[in-house]
Amino acid sequence: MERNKHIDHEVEKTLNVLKEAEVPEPNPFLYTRLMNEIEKRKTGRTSSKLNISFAYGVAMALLIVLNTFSLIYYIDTDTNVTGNRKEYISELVDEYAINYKSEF
Amino acid sequence: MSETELIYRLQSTDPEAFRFFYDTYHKLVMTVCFKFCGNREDAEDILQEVFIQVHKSVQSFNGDSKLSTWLYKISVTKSIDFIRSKNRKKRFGILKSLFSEDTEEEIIASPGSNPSGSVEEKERLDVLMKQINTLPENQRIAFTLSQIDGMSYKEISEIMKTSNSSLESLIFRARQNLKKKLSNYYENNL
Repeated sequence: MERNKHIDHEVEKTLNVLKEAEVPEPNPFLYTRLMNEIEKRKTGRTSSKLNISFAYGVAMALLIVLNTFSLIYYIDTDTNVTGNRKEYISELVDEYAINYKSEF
Repeated sequence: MSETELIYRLQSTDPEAFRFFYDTYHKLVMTVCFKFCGNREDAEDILQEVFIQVHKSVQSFNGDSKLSTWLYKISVTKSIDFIRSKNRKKRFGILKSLFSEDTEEEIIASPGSNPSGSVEEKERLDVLMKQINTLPENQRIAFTLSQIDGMSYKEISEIMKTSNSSLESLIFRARQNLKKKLSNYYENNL
């Protein structure tokens, strides 16, 4: 009984401790620390923005270069194929002595 | 300086206005942060985050609530975020310790130092903070805000976006839960 009373008393005391707790004064240099942190984050943000822009630019340039190269390669291959095909047909015509101006 | 003028000057990124704003409100923010985390170092870290957030987002403050209410909201959000991240770190620390050979290392930091206040008060505060951290989040916020001197239920309801009756019930349930938890604690530790 006595123990329960004691526990209840302790519980009540602890429940009220937050209300009664003395809030400490913040460090007097906290404002300076705060302004430094704001500046640091601002510069960090700017440099990271710059980095993102730079990376984006590089990626776009790379994409354009790759596209141009693949286009050039495609055109080049296509011309070669057309040239080869003509040569191949004329070789075939010569080899088999096909006369396309035949009786047909 | 009137509140409207202060807001206008803050939105114009006037450094003097920011200094004035800090001088006027830092005690209020410190009170909220301290009541949530229970120690000075953490409260200062949260306070710093609160003012950084203010500096960043004051442009979007449209004056639909009082400046102090807006600041309270930021302070509560930042405090809760801080506690969550600290708890995550604690859990990670426990996991790390399971796989680490060095078992002597202390993982869970105590709520920390509070230079003001007696040793007994500090111990009680540590006990209470540990129990508060086990409450559901809305009960924890309601209870903690109700422990701030001069903060009305109306203000707390506005911060928590809840009705007065729900708030009363939240605080009541929080107190009941805390009583139970503290009784258990003292039964085992007295």
